[in-house]
Amino acid sequence: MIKNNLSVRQICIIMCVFNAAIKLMLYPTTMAAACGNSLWLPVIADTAVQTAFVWAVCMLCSKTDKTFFRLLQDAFGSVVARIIYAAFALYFALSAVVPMTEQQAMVHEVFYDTIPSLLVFLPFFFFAIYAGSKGLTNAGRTAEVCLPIFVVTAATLVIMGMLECEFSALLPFVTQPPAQLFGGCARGFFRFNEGALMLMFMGNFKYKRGDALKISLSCALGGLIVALVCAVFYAVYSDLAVVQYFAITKISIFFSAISLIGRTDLLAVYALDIAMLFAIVLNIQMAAYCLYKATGRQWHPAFSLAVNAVLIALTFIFNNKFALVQNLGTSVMGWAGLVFAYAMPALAWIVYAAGGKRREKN
Amino acid sequence: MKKINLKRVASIIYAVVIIAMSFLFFTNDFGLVDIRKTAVIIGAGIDLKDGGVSVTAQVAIPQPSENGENTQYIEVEGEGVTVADALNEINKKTGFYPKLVFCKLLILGESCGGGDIFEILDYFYRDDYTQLTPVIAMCKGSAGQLLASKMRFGNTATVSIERLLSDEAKKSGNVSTVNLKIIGIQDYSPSKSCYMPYIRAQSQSAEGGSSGDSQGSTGGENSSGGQSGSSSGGGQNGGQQGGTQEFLCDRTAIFRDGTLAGVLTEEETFALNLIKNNVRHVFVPCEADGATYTLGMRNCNGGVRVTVENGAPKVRISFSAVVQVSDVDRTEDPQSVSEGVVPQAVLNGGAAAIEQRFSDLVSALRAAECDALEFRTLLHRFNYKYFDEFRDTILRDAEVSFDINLRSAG
Repeated sequence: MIKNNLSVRQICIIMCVFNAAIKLMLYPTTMAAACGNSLWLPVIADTAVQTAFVWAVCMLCSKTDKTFFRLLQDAFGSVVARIIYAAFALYFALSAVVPMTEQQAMVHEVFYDTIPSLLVFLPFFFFAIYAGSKGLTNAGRTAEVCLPIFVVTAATLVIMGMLECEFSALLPFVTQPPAQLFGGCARGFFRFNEGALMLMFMGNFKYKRGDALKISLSCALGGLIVALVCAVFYAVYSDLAVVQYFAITKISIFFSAISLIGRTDLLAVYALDIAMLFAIVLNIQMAAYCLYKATGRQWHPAFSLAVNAVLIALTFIFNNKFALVQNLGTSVMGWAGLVFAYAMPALAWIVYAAGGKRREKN
Repeated sequence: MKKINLKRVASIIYAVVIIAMSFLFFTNDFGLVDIRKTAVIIGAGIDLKDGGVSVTAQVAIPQPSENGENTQYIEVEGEGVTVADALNEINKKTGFYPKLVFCKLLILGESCGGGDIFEILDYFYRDDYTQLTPVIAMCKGSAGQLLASKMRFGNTATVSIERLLSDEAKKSGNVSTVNLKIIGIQDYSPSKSCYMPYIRAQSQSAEGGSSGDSQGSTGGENSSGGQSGSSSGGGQNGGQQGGTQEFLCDRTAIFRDGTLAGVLTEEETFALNLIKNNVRHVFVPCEADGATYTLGMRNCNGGVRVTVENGAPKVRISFSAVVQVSDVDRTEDPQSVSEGVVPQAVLNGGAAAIEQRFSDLVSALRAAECDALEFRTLLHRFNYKYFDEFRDTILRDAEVSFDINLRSAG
């Protein structure tokens, strides 16, 4: 029996740790390219908007204990609910593509001296198939395991970076034209799917008074951690930030002790990579969960295998097409994110008002 | 007694094995290579030759050995139209794929100063497998010959020059140590100016007298260098009978838009380092009370501030330090020495000496039209609304004032 129960603490950790970990690879560099020294601003703006949607779903959780699937069922019937969840499954599976290719490129660049074979990355899928076959309860537990790893390693790397950076590089504040800043927000838009995650968590935890604030603040904190890393990254590299990929692995290399004792910071990078892997795999777990809901069958291992098969195929198709994946992420996944992470949380209230609310009273 | 859930235990073991396997894969532990086929570039020299680029790489070749010496160093030269092309030729010549992740030193030959150095260095800013941590310097003469020099203590040229350009040397204010990141940031900044140490080999006669600069050259037996200091070292046979050479890094090459704009003198270099670097302990000679003092300065703090007052840009160069008398060319009362109080006249003399050096530095930079003190960048960051108005004139026209604050240690 696969369990999907979560505690509020686990949801808070997912919203904070996984939200931050999955955005520390290429996101700071793309924001530096889009907005220069104001790279932190689109991160904060996108985080604020996404946090508002997370809060909206949390408030809905305070009204009903039903899952989103049940609300859809009550409002529009089982078929519509299944179709929408199948679409969510596709969305979560595709949400894993960009961070997965970034992870692949990061591993190849940071951990290898020369370009290794693509096959080197395949063990990721052994892990992803296994983790994906577990339910939401497992995702919550892994988040709890990842919390101390993330906090210690991210803090270590950021502090090492802060000792060798110049924060005046972030000046002058916000001199870019609004169109450029909005462009930055749009480019990073697709990376925020916490609203969609919260919809899936809905009904899988017991809501108590004040939980909406806790979960929303956790989501905001995750975004602020990303903004802080972006600021430190730019303070370390200034105008060179746009050509420095995988920010979190680069901000610590100028720490003075490293020149004497070697790349000890890589230990922290390795450990942080574990949290990043779990953050990516969460999307696969969510896709498997959505397929379970859509089919009504607890065939998680088969669903996980299917989702990972698609991802393996995409990995081969998009091998050496890193820029293309980024562009597809910005364009296609941007629109998908708009529908699933922004529109759907808002629509959930309409669904609740349309059918779920009435039947709950009955 | 609680029953052990074997299914759960097996599941946990499976998860741990997967994580461990993934970790080993990600960290290349299954990709171990034979060290006899590995070549690690520890330093590289770049010269321009016949319209192309010549890269001389000092390569460490690890040798499997159970005792002592297990690394050989060789110099390999490759030529090509770009740095990447030249490195590829090294690969072709040796069979070793050159790895730059351990490269700690880049030397640009004098020939590179004629054009934009960032056209040459472009490779290092693009390559994903290179870091921006290598220290960079320009040398008089050929960088390849400099790297091929045999050192007095059996060290490689790279190790000797690295020592001269170390963080400790930088903290003494005698060398303007920079790395690829720093010069890249400076060149891409509004100031579009950067600087780096300028290495020169100085000939000495057998009796120990200095005979001026000479080109870096190679070959011959090792012999000693007679003069040493925080910014000089090594010891290299100059190919001259009875003469030796040593490296000096106490001058600074300055660049405008990536092109060599001049070379600062030792005094100007020292002034630049007091302002730009986090120096810890420096020595400044000065005249006061009819005697020559050498002042030791600690807790040094230098900086530049750009403001716009009454419609005109003003630059204030500040420096503060705690001072003690390290030496004086006359006998002093032991009582006053033990008290350690530096007389106000001596403090004033020290301040005047530093101010003179700062003034000379600003004049030299203005003459070279090189904004190495980053007036434009500071205007951009802290007075952005005036940036367009003064960006072209601030280096030439800004009123520069000095604020030297020396305090007695006693």
